[in-house]
Amino acid sequence: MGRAGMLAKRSDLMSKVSCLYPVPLIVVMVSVGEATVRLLARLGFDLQYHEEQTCCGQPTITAGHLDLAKKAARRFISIFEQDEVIVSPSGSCVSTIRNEYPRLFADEPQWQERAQELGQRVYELSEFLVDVAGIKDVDAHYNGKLAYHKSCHILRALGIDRQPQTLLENIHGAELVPMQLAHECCGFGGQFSVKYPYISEAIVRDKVKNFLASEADLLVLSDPGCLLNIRGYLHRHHPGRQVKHLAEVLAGSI
Amino acid sequence: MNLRPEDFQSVAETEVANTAQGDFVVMVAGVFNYLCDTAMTAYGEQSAQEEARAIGAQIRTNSLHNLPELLEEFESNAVRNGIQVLWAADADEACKLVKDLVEKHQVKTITKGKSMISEEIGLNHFLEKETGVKIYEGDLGEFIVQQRGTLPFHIVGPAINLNVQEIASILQEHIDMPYTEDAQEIVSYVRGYLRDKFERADMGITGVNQAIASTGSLILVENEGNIRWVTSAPRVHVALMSIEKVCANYADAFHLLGLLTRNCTGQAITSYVSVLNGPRRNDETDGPEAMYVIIIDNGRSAAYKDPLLKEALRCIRCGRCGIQCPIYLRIGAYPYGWNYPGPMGNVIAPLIMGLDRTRDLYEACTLCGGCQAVCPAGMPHLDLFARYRQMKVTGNKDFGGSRVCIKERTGFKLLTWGMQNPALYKSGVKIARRYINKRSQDGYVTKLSGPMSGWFSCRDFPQIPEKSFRQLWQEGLQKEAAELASLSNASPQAAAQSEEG
Repeated sequence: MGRAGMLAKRSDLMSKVSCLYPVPLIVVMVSVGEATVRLLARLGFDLQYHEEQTCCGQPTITAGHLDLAKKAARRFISIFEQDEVIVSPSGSCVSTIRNEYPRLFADEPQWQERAQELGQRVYELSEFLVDVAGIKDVDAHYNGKLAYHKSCHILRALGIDRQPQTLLENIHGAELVPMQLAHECCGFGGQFSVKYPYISEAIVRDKVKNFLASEADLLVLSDPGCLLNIRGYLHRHHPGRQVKHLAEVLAGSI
Repeated sequence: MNLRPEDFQSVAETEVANTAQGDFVVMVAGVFNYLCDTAMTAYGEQSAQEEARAIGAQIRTNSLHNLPELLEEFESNAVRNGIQVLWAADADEACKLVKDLVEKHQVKTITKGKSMISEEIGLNHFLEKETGVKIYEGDLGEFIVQQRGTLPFHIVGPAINLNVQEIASILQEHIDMPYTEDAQEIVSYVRGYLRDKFERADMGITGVNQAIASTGSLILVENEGNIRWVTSAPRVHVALMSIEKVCANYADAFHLLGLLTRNCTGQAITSYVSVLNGPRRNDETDGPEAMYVIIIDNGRSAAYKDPLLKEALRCIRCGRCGIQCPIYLRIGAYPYGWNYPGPMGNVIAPLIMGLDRTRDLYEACTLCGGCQAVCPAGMPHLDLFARYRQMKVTGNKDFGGSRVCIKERTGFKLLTWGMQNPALYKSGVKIARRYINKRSQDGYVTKLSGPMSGWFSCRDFPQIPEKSFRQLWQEGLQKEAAELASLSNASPQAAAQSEEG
């Protein structure tokens, strides 16, 4: 049996998968964390969760407070660096660790090396499933049309595009439909959404317009920032319409 | 219209309210992105296009690496060609040099080819005020913008935001054009109006797309023929260039121009390409009697000293970044308060106008990376924006940045403190939960005052679940996950496989 074979191979590959969660958002969207755990567990992965984990420090880096970001990063690296494989349902956290941490420690070679080593073992959920574990079909079901929003950090910072779409295409009963400007930013940008709300609104309005025009029943994406932004906008302006995280759709918790 | 980057917020708020303009610009950008993508297929598949961009980036790397030597080589070869080379440290000096030339050559009328550097130094305004000379922009879009008295909306489509009715009204008001909404008629009228100016202008002023060090030549690209007129008919031609516009040889220049036109207008090549090798020679019938190149620094060599800031000089001004930028497409050019709108301005303006004045340029950015992904010159936009933000936090006297305000700094200190102390973090979440949930209805908060208020202008915020993920994990999720995983692993096939292994 292919599937079971794969599972066995998987447990050879990695005895324990550590879950990394985007804390500030997972506080709000606990369901994404639950879905990720249930999905990975159902696929046979042994999971662990470091209860002392907090935030990777992305907002601090983005705002330019690099001295403070280093403090958060050192703590973060110390917590996770013993893990064999670390998986996160947040592309922007993965990008921070993989791309930003090594740069942050440009003048501290020892920490830079630790950051680089950690960065090689941190994966975004869909990247982990498709590229590392070789799973393209998670045996999920959804009856309807799906549209996929290509979050900036996933598409451009990590170069992940095919993997989440493959997983969506293989959902039984689902049809992945094209959406105009799927690759364009949703207008979140962390502090940007609060500091320049009128620009943020114009961008998310267009994102939702394109989603509605795609005639999909559900918008799927892979980054909690975009999720919070688009969900908040839909709830205000199109209360019947839904946006979900990839993990929720794959776990079948919708 | 006197626009300044300091007024970004108020101008952007006004512009974004013009949703008809926003929708139109997004639509036009879609067309241009399609044309540019199609034009790039001339290089082949995606990987070949990447390679073409990488070669472009390498050429820019080489040019910047050897910039002082290339500029000297260009100068000596240009001088040998009979071109007089002048150097200007800043905008003021550059404007005064042009003024001196206007007086020296007794110039009454100037025609211009569209030039971003002339906008950067505020040349038109300076000359009209200081010399009383008449200046006519030769590019149709730029001419319309000049009549209207606004900044160009896009570097290659200066009037791209105006519809035909608006253009007709502007031209009716300023040059007595009989009102017509027929685009062909408008073009013919302006052509007739400008033809006369082209014929009797004493001086032509242009920018430079690439200056060739090995031959001392200038290359200019355009589609309307105005640059050809401006560089060949008047007695004097003055070309303005910033220091980074030089490259080693023709091979390098033409690779960059191929990328420039494909990413600018989606053309394999523009209708006109002018290669200028000096003023009219004794045996020639066309061309200016005198030709000058003014090489302008205007703050660039200060950036050049820093290995990362130097990268900001990579830009070849194709404008592709702009039509990818979700911010620029919604707010247009005016909020940037200068002639380089969108990511192009976000990159260069902070270094020239200072970090404090341009704060909104590098902060009103979601760091989506769309600009960087398409740039044919290898500009590291995201690294630069991160650097500007960091320079703002620590303060930087060389680039006009005072330290970040204490309030923001304290906020991030608190956040970092919380990140390092899980107990503190937990109680922070508890307080936030109580605060938010008390104000929520049916699972969502619709309004909050204070620093988060901006969020609620168009969005709601979900209630914070009573149990955190950590609690769920402790109270059963961990156990459930272990059971689920063991069910999977305990399947006979898996056991057999692992025994074999």
